Amino acid sequence: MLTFLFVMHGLLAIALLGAITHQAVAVWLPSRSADRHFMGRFRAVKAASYTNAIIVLFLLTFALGAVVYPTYRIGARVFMENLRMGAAVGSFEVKEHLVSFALGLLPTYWFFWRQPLDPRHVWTRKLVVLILTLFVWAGFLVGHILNNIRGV
Amino acid sequence: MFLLRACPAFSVAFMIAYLASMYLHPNFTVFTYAPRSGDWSMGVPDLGRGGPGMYWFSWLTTGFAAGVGAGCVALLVPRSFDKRIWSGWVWVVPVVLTLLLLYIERTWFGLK
Repeated sequence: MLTFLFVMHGLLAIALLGAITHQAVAVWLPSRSADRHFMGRFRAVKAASYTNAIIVLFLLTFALGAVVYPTYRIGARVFMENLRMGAAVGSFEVKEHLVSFALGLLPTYWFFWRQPLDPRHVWTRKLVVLILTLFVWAGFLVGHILNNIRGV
Repeated sequence: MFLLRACPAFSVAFMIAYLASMYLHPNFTVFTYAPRSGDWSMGVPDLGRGGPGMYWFSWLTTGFAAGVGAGCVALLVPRSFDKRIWSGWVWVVPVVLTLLLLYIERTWFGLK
């Protein structure tokens, strides 16, 4: 059961990563014309339409992460501590706090990205989604690398 | 819609309280989870061989409580006050807190 939850945590994280990266790229590097190339279409999505999906995916990924976290704490982390892999353990500590910040930031993200979009807060909206994207990417990469070191 | 105004205040207070309770551990750690036994305890008990303890859930709860408190205060503030508050605080605070976090956690990476 735990393996299933862990795999689901990873799969949801990938979906979240895709959605939030789409939104961030669309808002920071918008496509100016109807581009037939892959990157052009990637950038041409309607950014605001991803908001609710991102919030739901984040909450599900976070909840599953919280469920499997105790297993990491008494398994993989102890293993890495015994091998004196301080940077690996520390990376997870940083990830843990960054995703917590992201959880706290989620209501604000929703506030600024709810439709209709308020034209007075364009930069706040862009920066909030950028920060959230960086937190999600950091969490994903650290989790993925640590899983390669020692899976739960 | 009335509650929406509380969102930015919630976020800022949540993140500050979370980092403060983590940094000031064990002073603001309300409860501990022991993953080996599955037990929850108030405060930071000595778990002995039953350890290690997990404090993350407590820090999240502290952050949530602070966020709800700040959100309630924000709802009491007159609407006319909203325009005087710079919306950029919602991105400045996480950036500053992330830098602080990296500084706090630097020892894991061999930095003094």
